[in-house]
Amino acid sequence: MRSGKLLSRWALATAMAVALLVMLLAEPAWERSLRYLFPGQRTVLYERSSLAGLAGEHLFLVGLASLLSTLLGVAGGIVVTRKGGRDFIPVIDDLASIGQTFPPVAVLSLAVPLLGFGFTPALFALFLYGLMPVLHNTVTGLMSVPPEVLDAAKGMGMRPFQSLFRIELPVAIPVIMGGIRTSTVISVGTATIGATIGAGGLGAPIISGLISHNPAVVLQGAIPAALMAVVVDKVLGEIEVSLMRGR
Amino acid sequence: MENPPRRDRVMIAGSMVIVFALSFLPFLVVRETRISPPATLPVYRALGSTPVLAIVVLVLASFVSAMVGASRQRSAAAAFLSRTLIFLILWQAGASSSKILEGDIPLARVSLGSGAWISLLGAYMIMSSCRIASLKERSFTFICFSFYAALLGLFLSGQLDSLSFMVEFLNRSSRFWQELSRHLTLSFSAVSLGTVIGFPLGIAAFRKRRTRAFILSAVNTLQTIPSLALFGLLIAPLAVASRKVPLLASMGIGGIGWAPALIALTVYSVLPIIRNTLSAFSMIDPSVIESGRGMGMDPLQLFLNVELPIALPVVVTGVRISGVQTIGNTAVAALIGAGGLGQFIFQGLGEAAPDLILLGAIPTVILALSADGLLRRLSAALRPGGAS
Repeated sequence: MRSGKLLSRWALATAMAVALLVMLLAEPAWERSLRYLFPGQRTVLYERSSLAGLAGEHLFLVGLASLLSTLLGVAGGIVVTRKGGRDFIPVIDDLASIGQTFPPVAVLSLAVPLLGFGFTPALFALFLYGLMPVLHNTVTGLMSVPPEVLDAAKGMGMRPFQSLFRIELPVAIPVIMGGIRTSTVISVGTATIGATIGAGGLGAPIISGLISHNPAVVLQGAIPAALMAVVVDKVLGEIEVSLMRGR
Repeated sequence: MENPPRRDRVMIAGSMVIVFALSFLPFLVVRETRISPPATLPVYRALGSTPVLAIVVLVLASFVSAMVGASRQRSAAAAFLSRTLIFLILWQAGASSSKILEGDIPLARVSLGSGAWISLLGAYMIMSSCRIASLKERSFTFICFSFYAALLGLFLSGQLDSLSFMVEFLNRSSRFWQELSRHLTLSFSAVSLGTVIGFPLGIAAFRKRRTRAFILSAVNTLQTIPSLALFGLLIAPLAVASRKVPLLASMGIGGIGWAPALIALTVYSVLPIIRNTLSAFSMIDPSVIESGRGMGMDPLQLFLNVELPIALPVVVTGVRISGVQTIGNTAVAALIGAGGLGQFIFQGLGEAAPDLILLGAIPTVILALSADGLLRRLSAALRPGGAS
């Protein structure tokens, strides 16, 4: 029963991912239906790039940023929970809650004076914004390991790094995954605004449609962007759930 | 937590960050005009020897108190030194930039360089190492208030007016206040509507198991959708609606403008409120309700006198989360013509004018931080038994 349910949930996530993929590749269908919906518009398609190309750009930007924030966030979380780093936990908590208070648009636009326009500032902003949830959850996850368990590991003669890799990280991993999920989903959303600083992606048709008062073009960015966020959330959520079960 | 006397690593790290940032990174950035390429000034050339000496003394003092001293003195030192440093850095940067403008390049734009920003971060680290628990509440409040008053005084005195960000502000101050009030109105309406909608939905989700899964998954999915995409999705239907229904059009509801912005912002603000309302009511110990019932309360009395007071602080936390989020998303709404502080951000991005970007972004951040702080206090004050 349980495995059947698990299977069907994965099936839902997969089906949504496939739907997204089909939607990205079906450019003629887009053109036909948008022409039908917006008969007055001369152009209904975003012309500078294919939809699949934009989605690829979007995913690459988000994926790279998430990878970087995961690497640094987990590493930082490990350092801070070791003996010498514990003093910094309140600072991390503070910075994490302040970081969450900073609006993503502000982080993104403030990256421009520092790094100029294009891919790099967007990557930097997404990375920085995504770092805090991962760091915070890594700390929470690692701190949730009961001290008795750690003592027992020490008593069994485990070295610190053995205890880290065999005990602490496996216990913490679902919580860490939760942080990665939060940070990635926020990144998918923030990346759409990234089009305003020249980072491309699915925000590009939205912005270009807004500028040229063409709602058809706006929809071409908005629908796939919305679906992509939901799919990413769903897939990472399933991974999180199965990690929790596998524990 | 820990017993003194131990070294305070956070304070040491903060002091070292300041030393590093001021020794190796540019303190001020000077452009000959608004958009010409930047030249940088290190701290010892930007400031006179007295202010630099003052900064050095303050950093040294925080370093020393991090190494020795009992936790109470150390906290007091951290609370005081860090704020003095922040004040001093801002004040001196302002003073130094007026000197530059008075000199040979009157059209120049002077802004804070990475060294100044990072040393502010270092001062913040020292500030956060202060354990409030080990300070007397009253003296801490005093330090905080005099700090805010000093910052306000600095702002009003015109000492900062030569910093590029302030120049930009003074050049468009009337438009600034207009966009700020637009921003506040839009965010406030969205969160109020979100509360009015979300609170009953949260209670409904709490009372009925079946509705719970449905409501939660629906708002969860909506929340996942990027704000810009949701704004985009609302444009077409609203444009059609306003074309078909003249009444809507006469009310100013259309594909772009405040209407789609308000709808999308409200949709976003609902989720945290529902989630927190649900968990607030689920948290209530059933025995408390039983005893209320035992005292002969009817369901309404029970709700108003027992459940609501217990749940309210957590509900307010939901309002806080949604308020902070909404303030940020309202900035994005400028892209669909809703106005607000985002207007400056996107205009600044369009013109590649960094100071204009700051004029939109910094107040947005300050708004979000203040909303966060205020609602945190409200939630703490509502907690049974009073503050914190």
